[in-house]
Amino acid sequence: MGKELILKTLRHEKTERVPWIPFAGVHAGKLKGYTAEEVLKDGDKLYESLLEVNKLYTPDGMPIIFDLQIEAEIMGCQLLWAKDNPPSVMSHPLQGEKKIPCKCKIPTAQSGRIPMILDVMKRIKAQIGNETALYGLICGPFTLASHLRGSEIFMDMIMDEQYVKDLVSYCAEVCCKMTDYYVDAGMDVIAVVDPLVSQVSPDHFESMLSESFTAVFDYIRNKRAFSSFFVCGNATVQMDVMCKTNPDSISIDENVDIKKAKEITDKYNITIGGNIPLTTTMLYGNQQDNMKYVVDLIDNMDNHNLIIAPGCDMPYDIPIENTIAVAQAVRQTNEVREMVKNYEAFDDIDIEVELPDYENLSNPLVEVFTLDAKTCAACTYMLNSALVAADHYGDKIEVVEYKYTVKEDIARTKKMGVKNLPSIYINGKLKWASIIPSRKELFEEIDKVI
Amino acid sequence: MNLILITGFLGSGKTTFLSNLLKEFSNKKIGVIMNEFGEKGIDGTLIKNDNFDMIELNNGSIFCACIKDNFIQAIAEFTKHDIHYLFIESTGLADPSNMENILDITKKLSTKEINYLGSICIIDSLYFLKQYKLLPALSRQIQYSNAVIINKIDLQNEDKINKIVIEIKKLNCNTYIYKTSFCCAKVKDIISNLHYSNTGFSETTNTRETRPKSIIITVNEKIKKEEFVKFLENICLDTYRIKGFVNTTEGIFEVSVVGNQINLTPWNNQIKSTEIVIISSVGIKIISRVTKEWNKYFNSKLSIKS
Repeated sequence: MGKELILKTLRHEKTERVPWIPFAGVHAGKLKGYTAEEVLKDGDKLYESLLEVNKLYTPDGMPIIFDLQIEAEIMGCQLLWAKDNPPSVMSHPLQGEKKIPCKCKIPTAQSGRIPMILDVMKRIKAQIGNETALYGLICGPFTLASHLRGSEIFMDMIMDEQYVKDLVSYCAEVCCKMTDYYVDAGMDVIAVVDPLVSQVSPDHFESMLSESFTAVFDYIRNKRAFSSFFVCGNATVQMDVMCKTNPDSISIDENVDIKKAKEITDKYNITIGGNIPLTTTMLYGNQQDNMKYVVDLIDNMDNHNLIIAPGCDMPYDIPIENTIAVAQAVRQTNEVREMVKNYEAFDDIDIEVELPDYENLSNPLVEVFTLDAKTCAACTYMLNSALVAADHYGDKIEVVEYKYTVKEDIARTKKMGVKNLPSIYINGKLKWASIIPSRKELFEEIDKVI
Repeated sequence: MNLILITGFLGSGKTTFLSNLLKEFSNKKIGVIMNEFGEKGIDGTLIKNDNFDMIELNNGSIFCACIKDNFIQAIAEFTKHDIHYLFIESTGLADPSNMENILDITKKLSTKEINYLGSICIIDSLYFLKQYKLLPALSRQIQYSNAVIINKIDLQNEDKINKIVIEIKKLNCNTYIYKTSFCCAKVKDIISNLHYSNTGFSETTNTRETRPKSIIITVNEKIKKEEFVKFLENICLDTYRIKGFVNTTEGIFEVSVVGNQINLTPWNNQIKSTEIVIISSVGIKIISRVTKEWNKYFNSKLSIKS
């Protein structure tokens, strides 16, 4: 039974096969023809879509809702809704006001979309909860802190560590409350989703964040639920400090070499999940690409303490057959291995792009390479920091975003040799990979070339 | 209706003082407003059995804008009943600077005349000199008091007590000062000497974010007393206060911890399960500290509520 497989894996026991979890957030809506906004706001549509995910993708575990903006919305952030993406945060209540919010702002079981979510959780639990492990996803304390404070938080990390610590600890209290609601509604696993963790140094993580994360994971464990630490982006250097916060499992995306990461998580006896590439393989690849990737994952690593999953929230438009192929590869690995034995992996996108003549630009050019600033929180903050510069310098500089969800931009990203997303290049030179620059750092670099 | 405010830091002896008051005034009609930090008022359990009316206000300080409205309404509610004395026990970190302003609004809402006799601040002579410089609310409690009771003098030397008196006088030269142990002061005298003089009004420093982090732990199984004490010894320095009831193999005890002073007193009533409120002095880290220390001593499952 799928659920037992997940629970065994999270208890670090040996299992007969590797379990699999599709992170079908907004993508669940696609299966029933609903938009992202519909599936994230309408309980009946969400419920219907989740049952379809369960039917088509035969998962061992699945999330109920994948939206890191639920808490932020309740706490005063304005959201911009999209048809095929989760909403993004448009305003930050603590922008320009360095405060810790009142505790009366902490979401209750009656706030915002929480009653709808709890209702769906209970219904799904009753319907498939015996066979499928259910994941309740909460916004991690650092990402929530940046939703509230905006990109100024990266400056705070340099100028006022205590404030960041206090704000993140406040957000960790929000995490504890969300854990209460979700565990009481039947969730087996609480995933603390904090994409922004990949954007700060391990030193900063340890001095300002780890205490809060550790408290949240201890809290989840005391509630008799399992925990998972989801991160996106290149969190390679953070793997060790993340393990020290003691979650039951960690989930990573394609920016991290899962084989190397697993060597670290194995040392701590923590389960690792990941990392099927979301766009190149799941969105733009074909069934064989997906099968091959999964078979390689299974064959290249010790299967103990391993979960197969997409790198993060699945893009809305992922072809259904690709996800089915992943499920197939997990469940019938031997047969699928035979099928893709001689298959050459999906090659580069065949689009010619021309790179600018970086030596002879009329104005400094700031290029932000992202997964898509609309969907990836780390990318949003990376892009925003560049937009602050655009505001400040006006037409003295040019700022552009290239998204990994657009085929031409994928080709450009590859041609530029970009290794990590998000990254900022100035005049064709890599300046920041994964780490979001503070306003001061960015301006200094721009001033050098202006 | 006579109104008396009781302030004092966590563990200073407010509840004991209130119990003494209730005994002394048992022939009068009494109302109590109890303001607790945790979500469950453990203080409430201690005195609920006696014959008086009580309203509990949880989730923050009564002086904080967050629940100030409820506080005003609670006072107004008591004026509808036949009450001689209304005692208000505030939270340990209450900053009563805006009491004057609260009274003004309350008087407008109330059907009966309210006679504010003043505020009595209880201080713990053992820890006061260490605490009051760190926690501005404690100075405010003295500044806005009309009487100060220096408690637990049996645990402190005379020299230190004199120092405390000097510090109190610096903050408020008009307040009456009493010295006592176990809050055994002559409460009737204290009350009759109370004369409220308008100490002015300023904004309270109490906000929801200045509330210390508190958690409630519950355990269903009986646990060993000796190990429970070890557990308390290991976490007490990360807390301002620990309070509640524990069900041990040796019987039920009332738990009271202030600093490293751990007191377990036999409790004769029944309790559903072990339930302890822990007020952290290390923020959210207390969750991890408690979990770690608990796992050292016990196999029984611990449940923590944030």
